[in-house]
Amino acid sequence: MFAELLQPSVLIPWFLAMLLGIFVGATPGLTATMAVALIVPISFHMSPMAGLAMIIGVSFTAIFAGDIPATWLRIPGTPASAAATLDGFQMAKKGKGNFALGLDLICSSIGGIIGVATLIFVAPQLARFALKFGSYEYFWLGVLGLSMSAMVTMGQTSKALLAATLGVFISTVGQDVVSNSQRYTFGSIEALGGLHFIPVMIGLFGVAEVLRNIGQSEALGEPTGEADSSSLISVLPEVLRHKWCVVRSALVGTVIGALPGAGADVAAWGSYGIAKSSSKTPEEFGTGTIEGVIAPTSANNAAVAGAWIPALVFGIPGDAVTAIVLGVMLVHGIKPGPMLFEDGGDQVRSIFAIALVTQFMLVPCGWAGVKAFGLIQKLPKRTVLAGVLVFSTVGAFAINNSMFDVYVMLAFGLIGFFMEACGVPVVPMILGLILGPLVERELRAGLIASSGSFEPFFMRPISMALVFLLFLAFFAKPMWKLISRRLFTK
Amino acid sequence: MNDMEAEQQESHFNSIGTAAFGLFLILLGAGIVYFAKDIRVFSFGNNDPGPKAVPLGTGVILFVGGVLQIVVAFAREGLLDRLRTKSKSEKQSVTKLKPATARILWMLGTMVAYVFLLNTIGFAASTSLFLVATLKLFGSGWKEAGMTTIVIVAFVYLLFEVVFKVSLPTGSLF
Repeated sequence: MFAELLQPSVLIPWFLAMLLGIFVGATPGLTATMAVALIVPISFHMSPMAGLAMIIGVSFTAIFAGDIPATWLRIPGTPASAAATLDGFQMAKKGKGNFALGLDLICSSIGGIIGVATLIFVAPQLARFALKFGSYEYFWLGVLGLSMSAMVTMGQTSKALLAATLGVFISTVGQDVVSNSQRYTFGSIEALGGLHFIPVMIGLFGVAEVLRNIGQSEALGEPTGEADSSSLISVLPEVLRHKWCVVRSALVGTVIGALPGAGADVAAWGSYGIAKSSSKTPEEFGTGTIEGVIAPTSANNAAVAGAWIPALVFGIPGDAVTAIVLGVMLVHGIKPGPMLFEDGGDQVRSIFAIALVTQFMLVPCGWAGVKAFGLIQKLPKRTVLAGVLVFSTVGAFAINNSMFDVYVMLAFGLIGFFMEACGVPVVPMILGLILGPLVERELRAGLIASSGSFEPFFMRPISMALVFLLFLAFFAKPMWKLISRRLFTK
Repeated sequence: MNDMEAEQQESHFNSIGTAAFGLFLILLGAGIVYFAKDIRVFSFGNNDPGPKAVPLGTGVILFVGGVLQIVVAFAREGLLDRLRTKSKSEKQSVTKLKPATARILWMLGTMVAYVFLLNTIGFAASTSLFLVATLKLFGSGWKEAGMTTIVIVAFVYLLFEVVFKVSLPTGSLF
C-alpha cells in the first residue's frame, strides 16, 4: 500500500497539489473549497490513487495555509483560520511570527494525524452518534457556539454577545430558504443570495486592520515586521509542554468536524473557547499565548479528517470540500457508504493511508509556504498595506465575480474599524455570521417537527446535556468564585 | 503623562466607545424592526415561526442592548462627568489624533474612489491609480510608488486572471 503511494507517478503530483493548496489557502478570498475545485479536473487525468492523493492533500494543506496570512497580516486565508488572527497575529507583532507558524504547522500536522487516527478507529461509532443529533440538538449546538463569543472575549461579555447577535442578523439578509421571502434586500438582486461570508471577513479583519495601522503608525516606511529565525525544531519543546491541549483540541475538532454543517471554522472557535476557559491564565488569551495558537490550529485540521467520518460511512459530506471529494470518489469508482467498509477494504485502506501520509508531507510543504510568505515582512509597511487593500478588493470580487461583494467588503471594513475603535470585539460577529443560519434553520425545523412545542428543545437527553453545558459556560465561574469566597471567609 | 492620567484617558475613550456603539445599535435595531414590515409572511399551517422571527428577535435584542450600553456608559463608566472635566492630557491627545484621523479619512475616500473606478475603468487602470495615490499618501517617492504599483498590478493580474482564471473587472479602459 505505502510502496504504491511512494511511486513518483503518485508522489510528484501529490506534492505539487499540496504546494498549490498552500498558495491558494494563503491567498485571501480563495478558499480551501476553491483549491480542491481547481485540482478536480487535473485529478481526472491521473490514476485513482494519484487523483485521490492530490485531492486529499489539497484539502488539508489549504486549511493550514489560511493561517499564514492570518498570522502575518491578520487576514484569514480561509474561514477556518479566523481564530488565528487572535494569538497568532499578536505573537507575530511581537516579532515571533515564524515561531507562531512553526507551532501552527506542527500542531496542524499532529491534529491531522489524531483526526485521521480517530477516523480509522472510531469512524462508524462516531458517525452513529452524530446521527442522533436532530434539529433540537443542532439548535443548542449553535447557541453553545454563539456563547463561545463571550468566552473568547473575556471581560467584554455584553459587547461580545451583542456583536454575535449582530452577526446573526447579518446572516438573515437575503432570500429566506423556506418561504422565499426577501429579507432586507431593498430591491437588490445581488443581495438575494445573502451577504457572503468571505467579503465580510476580509472587510472586518483586513480593511479594518489597514485603517487601524494608518491611524496609529507614523513610520509607514519601516519594514512591516521582523521575521524571527525560529526553526521547526525550536517549537517542539513547546508542543510537548502543551501536549494535552493539542490532543484535546484535535479530538474536539474531530468530533465537531464529524457533525454535518459544523466545519473546520466552528471547530477552531470551539476548541479556542475550551482552551481559554480551561486555562489558568485566560486573561492572557488574545495577547499572543502559545495555547491560543495551538488550540484552533490543531482543531481545524482535525476537523477536516472528522468531516470524512460521515462522508465515508454514510455518504453524507460534512462540509463543501468533502462534498467535492465525494464526487471525485464516485468518478473514480469508489462509492461511499456502509458497504464501502464491507466490499471495498482496499479502497478504504488507500484513503486512510493517503490521509495519514499527507499529514507528514504537510510539514515540508507548509514550512516552504511560511518561509516564502515571511519575505513579505521585509517590505516597507506602506507597500504591504497598499497590497493588502488591493488583494482584499480583488479577493472579495473573485468569489462571485461580483462588485456587490466588493461593496460588502468595504462596508464591513468600516463597520469593523468603528467597532474596534469603540472597544467592541469583531470576532463574535464572525461567529454569529457562521452559526446564524444553523441556529435559525434548526429552530424553525424543530418547531415544525414538534408542532410548535418547545418541550423537545429541553427534554431530549442530548439537548438537556447541551443546555446544561450552556448554563455552565455562563454561570460556572461566577458560582465557583462565590463558593470559594464563602469558603475562604469561613 | 502619569499612569493615573493614562488610565483616566483610556476610561474616557472607553465610555465614548460604549456610548457610540450603543447609539449605533439603537439605530440599527430600530431600522431592523421597522423594515421587518417589508418581509412577506406566508402561512403554511406548519407551525413555522416564519422568516420574520429571527431578524425581529435580533432587532429587539440589539435595540435593548444599545439602550443598556448607553446606560452603562453614563452610569458605570461616568461619561457625563468625564465630558465635563476635560483634562489637559486629553486635550493634548485630541491634538495628536488629528493627523491620524485625516489619514484615515483620506484612505477611506481613496478606497471608495477605487471601488467606483474599478467597475468603470477596469482593474489595471483603477488599481494603478489607487496604488500610486495610496503610496504617495503614505509618504513614498514617485520612483518607489511607480515600481511598487507595476509589481503589485502585474502579480495580482497574473495570479487571478492567468493562474486562477478569475475574470477581473475590465471597464472602459483595461
